[in-house]
Amino acid sequence: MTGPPRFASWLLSRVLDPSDRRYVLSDLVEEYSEIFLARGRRVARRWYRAQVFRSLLPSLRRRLAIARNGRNRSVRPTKRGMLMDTLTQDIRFALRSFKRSPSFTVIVVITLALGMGANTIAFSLVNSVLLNPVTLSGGDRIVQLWRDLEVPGHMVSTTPTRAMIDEWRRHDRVFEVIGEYEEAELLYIGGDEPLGLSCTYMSPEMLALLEVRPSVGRTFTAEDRVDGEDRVVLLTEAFWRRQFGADPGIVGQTIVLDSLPHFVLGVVPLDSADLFERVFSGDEPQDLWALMQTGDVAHGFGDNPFAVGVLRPGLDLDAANEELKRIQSGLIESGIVEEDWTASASTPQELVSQEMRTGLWVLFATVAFVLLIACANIANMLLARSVVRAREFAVRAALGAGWLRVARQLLTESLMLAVTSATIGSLVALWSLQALGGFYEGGLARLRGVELDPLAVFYTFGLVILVGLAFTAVATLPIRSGNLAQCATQGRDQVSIGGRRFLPRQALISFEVALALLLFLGAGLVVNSYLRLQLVNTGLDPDGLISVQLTLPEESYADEAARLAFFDDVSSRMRQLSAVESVAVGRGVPPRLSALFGTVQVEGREAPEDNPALVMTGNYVTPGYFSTIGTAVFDGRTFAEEDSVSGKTSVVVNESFARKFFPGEEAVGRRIMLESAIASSSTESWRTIVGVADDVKAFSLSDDQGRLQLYFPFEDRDPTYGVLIVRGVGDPSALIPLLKEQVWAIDPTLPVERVDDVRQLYAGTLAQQRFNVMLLTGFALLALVLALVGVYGVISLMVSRRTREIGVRVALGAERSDILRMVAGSGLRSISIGLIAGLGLALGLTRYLESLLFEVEPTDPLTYGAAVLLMAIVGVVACYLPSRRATTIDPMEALRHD
Amino acid sequence: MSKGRYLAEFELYVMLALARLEDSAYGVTIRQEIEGRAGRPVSIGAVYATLGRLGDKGLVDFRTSDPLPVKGGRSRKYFRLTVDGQDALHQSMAMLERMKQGLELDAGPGRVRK
Repeated sequence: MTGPPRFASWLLSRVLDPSDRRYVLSDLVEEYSEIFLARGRRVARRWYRAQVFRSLLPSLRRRLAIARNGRNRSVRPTKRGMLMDTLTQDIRFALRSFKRSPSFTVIVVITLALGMGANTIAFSLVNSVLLNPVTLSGGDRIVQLWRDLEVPGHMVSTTPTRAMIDEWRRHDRVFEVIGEYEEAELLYIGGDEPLGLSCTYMSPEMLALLEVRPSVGRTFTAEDRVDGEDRVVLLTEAFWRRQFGADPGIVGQTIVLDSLPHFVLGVVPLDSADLFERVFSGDEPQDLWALMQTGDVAHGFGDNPFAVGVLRPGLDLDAANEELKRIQSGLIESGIVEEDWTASASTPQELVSQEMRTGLWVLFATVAFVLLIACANIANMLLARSVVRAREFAVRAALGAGWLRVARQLLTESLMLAVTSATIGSLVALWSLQALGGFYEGGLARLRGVELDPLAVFYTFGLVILVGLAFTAVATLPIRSGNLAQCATQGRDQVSIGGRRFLPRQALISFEVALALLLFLGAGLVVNSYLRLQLVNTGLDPDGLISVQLTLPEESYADEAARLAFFDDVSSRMRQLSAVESVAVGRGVPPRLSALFGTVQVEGREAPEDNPALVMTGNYVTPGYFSTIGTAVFDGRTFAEEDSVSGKTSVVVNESFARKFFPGEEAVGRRIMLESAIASSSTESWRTIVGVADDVKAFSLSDDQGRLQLYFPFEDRDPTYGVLIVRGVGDPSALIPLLKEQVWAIDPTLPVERVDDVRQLYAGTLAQQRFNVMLLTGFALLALVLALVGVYGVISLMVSRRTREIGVRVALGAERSDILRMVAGSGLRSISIGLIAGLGLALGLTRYLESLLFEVEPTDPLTYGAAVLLMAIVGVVACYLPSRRATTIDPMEALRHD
Repeated sequence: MSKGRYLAEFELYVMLALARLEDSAYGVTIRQEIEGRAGRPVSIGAVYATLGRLGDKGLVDFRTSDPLPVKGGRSRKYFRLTVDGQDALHQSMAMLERMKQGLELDAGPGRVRK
């Protein structure tokens, strides 16, 4: 019997819905055979053609209807419905395939989750610290306003004068509103101990600008701003909880601050207080917000407040700066401000230190690289797996799945892995960000209040999609490169033939090694620099040294004599104690000295035409200061009784100062005159240099700012506050209660709060470096482990795939060393390529680390050598272990190997 | 009964054929049943397209048989009415019944005597 017309069958099968195709055709054949047997070939064939011809139109229509509406049980099937149907099918299938290889799934998910978690953290940090510190509706228009003075080398920005602010307010084309604030410490007696409260005086505009919604009570408005004795304050929520146990009854009551009654209007919620502190007050937690009264301004307080402006819509920073310059020249012309002063606006972002900025971007790049390494590893595993799964794909292809359908299945699997990892990663991130809060305590105040950003979750989701797509592309490589059916027939044997099949994987090894080396090098440089910082000579002996700032309120210490007497009294009382070795008082203690901006004149020398203002460090100290902190005085002497009596006639300079002004000359005995660049009204006279002291690290271990240091007798300046510096014998913390006891014996209303350990103050100046070191080494180690796992995995896979080949080689007389060379050789080649590429990358990229490094070049040969050596060792170990297994292969076993 | 359940003429034929054939309804028998009774040529493609559409509406479902126990034997797709299908068929027939009440159709459609 001849079969039915072929062309007709082929034509119909093209048109039919695939799910019906074989049934329709077999039904046709069935009838065709009957007709053929009963009425002959011609009739049967004619019948068949007629059937096909008449079937074409309805089948085509049906096919189009399915394409348009889907194949659904609902009356009006939708396209989405059909997609969902195959999607659930895909998901079910993916779940089954994960279940079949649980270890693969777990490893992929953990690797990815680590990578994604790290990226979510980095994104949260970068976003909240660098990109978007002000989360307010007008946030991008908020600018901080400054009065600037150019000194050689850099601009010194200070707060503007009232005249400038008033003038800015008049030019309301630029600013919608200008708020002012000023910080002060207020004495509060009423709790268990006298407290010095951190208070910010604000103009009502500040509250509007910060969009404060009080959690209890109300905020102050312009109506509260009357010239009178009624002072109003808001409590910050943290202080309210700490001091008043979150009692809402405190609102409406009066508390006494600095001996004056203050009316409590309300409570500032945590987020508003946090925002203000983060953006505007250098992360110092504030206890109170008080209304800056017009009376205060009249009395001189609030003459130089901080100013914050909101730009009118459409104006940018450049336009604002342009306008400020114009206004300023008007002010200079009319003689309201001094000639050298300029005005500028800056965004709150610019307040973030350069180190923090660089540190965070480096972190951001690092975690991106870690994710890339993780992805490379997973890509490797997926490649291996899709070769193994080739047979499965081939079967599916035979059942009618095109490669696109298989690719969609793989995409579903990849995305499921990515989504699961992103979820776990986000949880890891949430948890780690809380842990990072620890760095706030450790001195890195910027990190306070950084939390998992909703935007970061979007970011992670974006990564998920990218990663998912990338994995699909990788996993479909073996399918696309060949014909699906080919895979079925070749199966495992194909991959056991030569090394060529491993090419993409060897490239991945090189890629991983290169990135891991780069990260390791970066971390190495930062660690190296951190170690050097530890060895920096502070110029003093910080061990056993504690300090506390004591602020004397005007109410109880009427005049300078009373204040000097207090410090005298407390020093001699402390000196009596057996636990105390020595005591001194200063205006500050390193690394918390104050900067001086001013010009220096040397007696007997012509003052240069354009005598530049310099940035220096100044401190007013008692005679015992140098011996107490442990700083050597090389030449001359330290201060003595006669210096304090004669008044403003003597000065001790440091070595750098002496070298700068008296190179090769004797400094002691010379006279200098200082003129402050800021307070032009200060009356200074010629001072004789009585001694030269060692250089001290004035602000931090890492920077050389404030290199020129000057010391004046403590009595030269009215000590409204002073820092009591005590060197004890033994544990410094044991001194704290003794110190409080002595202070309170003299004045029980005086707050003794922050007693600092000088060693810890210095350690605190390295918080940023410690943060960099911890994160960078952490991620570099992660990268190293991932690279190790990657190399190991590829080589072991290669060994197990080539078992039979190795067996044959051994059977034909290959030595152990030949096998070792063969297997390890290709791995080592990839590693070497990776190391070279990594070195190249590092030479190009580590220069971005420069600002983070201290006395270490970005191309430090020692660090480079060590990192390359370490990576090489790790690489060799990762290659050697699986290669050794290859040499133990028994040829008989191997030949039976399938 | 929802609007979507009105049956087209050919759908009605197919469902009636399923009702008649009971357990032996597959492509060949359905086509032959309609062709035989309606006396007009019916294409297998139209039958499957209609069955597919009825399947979408949930009025018919199918099972595939084991391959026939002969060499090269193919499996068949057997169709039957679902409960909804039986219901829809019943409703359509009842509607047809109501519509034709009082009409004399003996002379054939289009020539109704007044």
